[in-house]
Amino acid sequence: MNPLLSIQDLRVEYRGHHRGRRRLVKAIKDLQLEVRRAETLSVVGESGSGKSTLAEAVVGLARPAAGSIRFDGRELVGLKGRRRRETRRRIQMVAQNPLLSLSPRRPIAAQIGEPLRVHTGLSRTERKDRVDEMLTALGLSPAVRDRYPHELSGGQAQRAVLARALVLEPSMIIFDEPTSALDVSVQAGVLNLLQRLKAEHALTYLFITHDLAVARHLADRIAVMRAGEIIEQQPAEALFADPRHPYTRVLLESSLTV
Amino acid sequence: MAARHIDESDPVAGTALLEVEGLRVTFNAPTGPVRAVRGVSLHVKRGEILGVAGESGCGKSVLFRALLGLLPATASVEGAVRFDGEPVSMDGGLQSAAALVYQNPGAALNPVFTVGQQLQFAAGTRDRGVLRDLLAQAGLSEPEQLLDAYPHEFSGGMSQRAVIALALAQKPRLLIADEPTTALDVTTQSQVLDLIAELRDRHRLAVVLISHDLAVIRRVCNRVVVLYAGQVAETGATAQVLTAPGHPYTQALLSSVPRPEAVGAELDSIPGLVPDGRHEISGCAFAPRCLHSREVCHSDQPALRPLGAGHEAACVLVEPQT
Repeated sequence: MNPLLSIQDLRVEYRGHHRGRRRLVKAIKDLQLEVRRAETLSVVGESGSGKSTLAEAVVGLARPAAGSIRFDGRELVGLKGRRRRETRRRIQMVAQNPLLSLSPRRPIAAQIGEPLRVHTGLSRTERKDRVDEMLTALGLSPAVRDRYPHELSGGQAQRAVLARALVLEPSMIIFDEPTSALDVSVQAGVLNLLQRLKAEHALTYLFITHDLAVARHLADRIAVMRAGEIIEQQPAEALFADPRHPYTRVLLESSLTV
Repeated sequence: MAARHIDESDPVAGTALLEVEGLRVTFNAPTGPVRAVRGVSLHVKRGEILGVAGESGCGKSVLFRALLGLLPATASVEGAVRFDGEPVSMDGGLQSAAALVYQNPGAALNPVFTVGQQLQFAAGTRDRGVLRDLLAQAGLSEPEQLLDAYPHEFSGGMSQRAVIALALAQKPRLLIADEPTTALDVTTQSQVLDLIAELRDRHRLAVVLISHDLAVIRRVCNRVVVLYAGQVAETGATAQVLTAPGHPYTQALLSSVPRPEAVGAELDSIPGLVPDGRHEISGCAFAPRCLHSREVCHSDQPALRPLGAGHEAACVLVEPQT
């Protein structure tokens, strides 16, 4: 079966400056990556490796300088208008800090229902029912509906972000360090939830993290990124058993265990 | 796996440099008092790293900020503190003897001064030789050039080393590191932890390392104090506490960490939240989230019970060992 997401020769560049001179920062250099249907592919790497830029390119927040991103057979680069909206709703993103992903000025329920208002013709009551359904599915009590983000705990807020990502029933979710701002005790609950949702809805995950233990826990395959390139990718267990690239070995050796 | 820097010989021996007894910190908020630290006693010895663990909101940072006099005026601090055997005042009596290393090195350095200028303010000298030596002690190579560099020219790891150099400039006898590696990449994280261990050994510094990450604590701490809701839940030598935890809270924290032996398996999360300090707590603070709680846990506040040499846990289910 063809992969759900197929990235070819992707290049993303930013204009920057260094010591008074202009220069081009190559955040992603001719990157190739495939994500298969219903798998979890984890991208690991250190800060500055380009892993967040990769996520942004896929969801359309960063504009590629060159290359192709095909989602379910359709080219995303340069896609416009109605076709773009149709495709985009099938790819959702969950970022690291839930309080930066949510508006501080609107109650949770309104924010979870927003994608439905934008993308579907559902009536107000239909939207409300759907939001309530999502809250229950993600283990949030109905009391959370009318609260504002600052009134929630970190775990609750990240669940609300997840609810908003899931409400349109996407095929793929891109996670950029979704549990890095949470305590381990709360992270455990969110990781369990991600596993359950993936199984229930046959979701495909692109999971970006710097935490190798989390990647190993969730991923079917792991890709290691450094300086805008993928230097190694392997099935998760194989990567830990037999890392090929010297940099992967350094990463594995420096990660601490309890 | 890299070597662990723990002096396994005798974690109980040695004399205390810092002794804290019955410390309470209460914030007087408009909505009523918020009890952030509710009676903590602990000590730190010369030449050891004491780890302070617990979830966010357990009072880890507030406790040490209180000792350094860094809390706002709405905070009231009670208890007794002794440093090197002498009583010190509660409102920042430690300031001259202790230095703080912050979590976010980017925010701890001033962007408009060179690193050399900032070191000069902290060390109170213009002698470039002394300043260079401070950077070298923090493990920065080519210190001469770095003195004239601005913080934005430093990587994350270099910035954290510069912050450590600033702390060393104050010639502290006690170093308080608050989540010093949380903002760093894994490869830099172990290097900074190695540096802290090296400083402990070279200067016989007493170090307090505050971290929510038990793996960080495991790597360098001689002893650990696990805080829950502003109280000590468990304390002891790191190896004892992390391999044979006595308190259900420590056990729950450990089992929520993803492990290679159980890839993909359901993790044990801790249900509920840390109590927020606005309410009086009767009984054990952890009881509402504890899988083993009994009736007595909700009514009686458990005292610390001995489990072994220097190892104590505040839980009624612990069978005291003497």
